[in-house]
Amino acid sequence: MTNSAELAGKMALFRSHGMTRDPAQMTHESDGPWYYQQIELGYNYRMTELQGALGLSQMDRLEPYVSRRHELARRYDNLLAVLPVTIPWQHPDTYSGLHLYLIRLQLDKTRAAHSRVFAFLREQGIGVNLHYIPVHTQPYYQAMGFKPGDFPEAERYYAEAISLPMYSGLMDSQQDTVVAALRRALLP
Amino acid sequence: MIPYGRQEVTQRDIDAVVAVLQSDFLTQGPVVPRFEQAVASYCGAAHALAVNSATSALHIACLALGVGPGDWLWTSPITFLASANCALYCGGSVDFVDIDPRTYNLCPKALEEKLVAAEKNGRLPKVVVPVHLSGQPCDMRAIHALGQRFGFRIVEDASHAIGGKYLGEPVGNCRYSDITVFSFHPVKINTTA
Ligand SMILES: Cc1ncc(COP(=O)(O)O)c(C=O)c1O
Repeated sequence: MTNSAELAGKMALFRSHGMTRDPAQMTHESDGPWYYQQIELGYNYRMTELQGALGLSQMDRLEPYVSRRHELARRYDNLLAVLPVTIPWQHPDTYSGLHLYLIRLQLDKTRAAHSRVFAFLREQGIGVNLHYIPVHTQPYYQAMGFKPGDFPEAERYYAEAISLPMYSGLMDSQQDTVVAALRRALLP
Repeated sequence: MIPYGRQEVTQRDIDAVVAVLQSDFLTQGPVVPRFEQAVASYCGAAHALAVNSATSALHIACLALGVGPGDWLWTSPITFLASANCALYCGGSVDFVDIDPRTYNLCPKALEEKLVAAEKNGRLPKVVVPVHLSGQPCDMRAIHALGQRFGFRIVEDASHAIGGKYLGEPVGNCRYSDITVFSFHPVKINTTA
């Protein structure tokens, strides 16, 4: 997405081999109706029609999907209030797309270890995840000179965070199962 | 197993895809431009360009902004690899800005401090990529103001944030950025598969 015609034009070239069929962009007059020119080094990053059709069809349901995620988030917020976890604070300027529901364990208030809670939830059939491992600690980035300790706030987050199930099709009853499992993990 | 995220595909979605399979075009037909138009008008942005992944979108965004050898891109360490790798694809370099302890998004105060230091040793970034983690928009007004002051461009990684709003307006309208990228990966809010 952009509001700049110039950037949009450049991105259109880069997504498709740097090719143009627009005579105005060509270095000389077109050879004929078949003619195209490569004026940049681009890639084949085009979306297929099948993908476009699915995306287009889903656009109508975007708002109901996001509101359902907000409903689920409010339920989580209430259900988790009694547990030693930090629920995701929402800045008043924002209305989240709520792709993820991220909690942080208050490790000073539970004897359970982060990795143990995570493993327990997985054992209970809850497909929790962790978004994300701080990028600078990846081997590829460490080879460029980054090291653990460079971004302490990010690393603290990583030591405590868990992504709970969050999607529009999640049922209240499934959410209750998630919270019950988390309670057992944290308050043994 | 209750997954952490999952797509929802209705019969109408299936019918829409089947209709394309039975049409004249499987690629470079009329549907992708209609999808682009729908997303652009939903977000209130002038242009939408659909590509095959958000990773590709980040790459061509960096190319369009002229990222190359000697240029720096800064982003948050709490993000998917692609938000940083896009600069490396272009021969640029990557650095990170620590997160805000409450939103887990790139912290504008940490950004300002790092910019002041970078200005002194001539290593200001060309592009900053705020990532709207979990779908919650970053403090875009503050980041945009720093962009004006220090002369960097802004690419919002809104992979998690389609359908979200910042100051009451849809994410993707690019009011505070040059380019915004969405992902339609199947675990995301909306999918293209
Ligand atoms: C923050 C962020 N950026 C970029 C990407 C890449 O998206 P895609 O899978 O569409 O390439 C993802 C998806 O995992 C993401 O979460």
